[in-house]
Amino acid sequence: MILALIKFFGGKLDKRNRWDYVRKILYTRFVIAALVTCIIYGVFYLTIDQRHIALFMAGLFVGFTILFWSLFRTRHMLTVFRLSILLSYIGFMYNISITGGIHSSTVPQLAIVPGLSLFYSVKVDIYSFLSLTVLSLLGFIAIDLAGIDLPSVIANKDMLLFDAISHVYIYTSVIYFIVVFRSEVVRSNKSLKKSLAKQKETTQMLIQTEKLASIGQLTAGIAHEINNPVNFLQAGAIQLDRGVKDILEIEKRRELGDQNIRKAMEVGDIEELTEAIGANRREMDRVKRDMEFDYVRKEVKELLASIKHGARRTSEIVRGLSNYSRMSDSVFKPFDIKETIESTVTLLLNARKDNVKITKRYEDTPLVQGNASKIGQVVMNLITNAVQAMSGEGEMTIGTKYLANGKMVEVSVRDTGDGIHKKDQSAIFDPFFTTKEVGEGTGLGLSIAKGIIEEHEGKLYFETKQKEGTVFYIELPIADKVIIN
Amino acid sequence: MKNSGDLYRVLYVDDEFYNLVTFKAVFRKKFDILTASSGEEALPLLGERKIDLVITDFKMPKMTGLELLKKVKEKYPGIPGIVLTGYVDSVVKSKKRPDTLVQVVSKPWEEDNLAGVIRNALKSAS
Repeated sequence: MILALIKFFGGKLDKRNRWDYVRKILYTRFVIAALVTCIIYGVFYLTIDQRHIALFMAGLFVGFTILFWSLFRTRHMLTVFRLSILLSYIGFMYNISITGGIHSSTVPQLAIVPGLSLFYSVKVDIYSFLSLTVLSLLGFIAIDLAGIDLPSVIANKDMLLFDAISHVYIYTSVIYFIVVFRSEVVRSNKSLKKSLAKQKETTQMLIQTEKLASIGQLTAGIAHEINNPVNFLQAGAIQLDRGVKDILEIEKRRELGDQNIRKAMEVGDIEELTEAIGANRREMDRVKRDMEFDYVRKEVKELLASIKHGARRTSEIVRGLSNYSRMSDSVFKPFDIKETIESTVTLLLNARKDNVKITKRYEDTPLVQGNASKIGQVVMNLITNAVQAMSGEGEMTIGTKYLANGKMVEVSVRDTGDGIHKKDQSAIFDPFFTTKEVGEGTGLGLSIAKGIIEEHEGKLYFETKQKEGTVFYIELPIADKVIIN
Repeated sequence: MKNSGDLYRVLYVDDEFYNLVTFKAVFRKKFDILTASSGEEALPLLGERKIDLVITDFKMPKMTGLELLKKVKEKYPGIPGIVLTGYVDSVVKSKKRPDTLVQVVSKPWEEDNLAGVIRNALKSAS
């Protein structure tokens, strides 16, 4: 029966298992608190009525035993609390049945609590505890006003037993309230810290994803880009091989012809010599015609040029790559912004044969102070955004300018897209803000870009006109300006 | 020049100069190769002489390979077409493919493979 009762109270109550944290503290403290209250109450009753102290203590003992047992069985403080409510309720009912009326101080409280205990939430428990405290105070006041003599009430020994048990409820509530409140606070702190840490982790992961996405973009561009030179290098080399073989074949025939001429010279016969020279010449002409010698000569030149071109293109790509491999280097050094832009453009735009016309307007600029690969990442982001804004078709203008008064170098990326909507303008540098489809962009590009530029003590801003296009401006301090990193 | 009367005439279109160079160098002994660096340049060539096959790069500025083949089909419906591209999937799935497109070949191409594809295309047309 008790088990069933415990199950009834404890069944749905493990939404929050406070036992984990509370156990160590609760176990010893609960036991100590219970013992202490027993002693205090015992002493109190000792002063009032020595005869019935044993009975009262027995009542307390029984009450606490049941509660301890349920605590250890179910490990739910809440179960104990509920159980103590039940015990108090039984006490209350018995009180009424015996005395025919309301005499115990716990009566007013108990009238409300069982009803409240139907709700399974900490808030309700706290409210119910507070309400019972208030009501018990009222109860005491009422008893006082009514002039009821406490000792006479206590004298009824049957009632005393149940009264004692019901008092257990109050003590349990106090301990419960304190312990639970504390654990709640600790738990919320813990979970807050946990969620903060998780959020940080997620943000880091997204930044990482964004970085990887840009590296992924680069890689795709590189792979595609390398395909072309590989083609001419390979085909060029093979054809060159054949062309050279043809030329060597001609050389071989010439050599043979030469041998005939030499033989004729040895013999000394002019006619034979003339014949041999003539035959050789005719043979050479024929062979050259068959092999299209003139054409082969031209072709060999072209193939060599294509191989050189392929090799050059490939080394450009590799050079551009090595710029990005030093991403993690956070040392600030002077560098040429034009070089950085050029390598980014090479990597990104050669692979894309969209209908994007690129115009470059580079003015003479001094060296800039900062991290070349990070600025390269920013430029890459701006260029990618520009191409996307134009849906792959339009004109992009990239410019550099020296701003003498502020001692800054200005980089501009202009596109002929639709411009940025007024409603999006203020949010454009916010993290996770994007107007692209889900999965197409994390929306972190510009916010990371802004972070990098701020790190460089520069400026990142834009000008836009609907249907005409947008310009993004980067301003970076020149290397002469001293930056304390 | 050698008499190219008995060789099939193939028109190769690509916006990369060196691709034209290498393609011609590899195949000139097998076929009579004509080259053009854009769709606009290629179309008038079809009017000048009888062309047996058009091979084109896909991604070109102004007129893509598929658009070119479509125009070829309009004027000269019997000429088969081959597209060379790094984006095989998007070309194959494209709705703009004319039915004269016989095959899509991925770049970088390999001589023997491409020669076979060209021969098949020429056979199927004639």
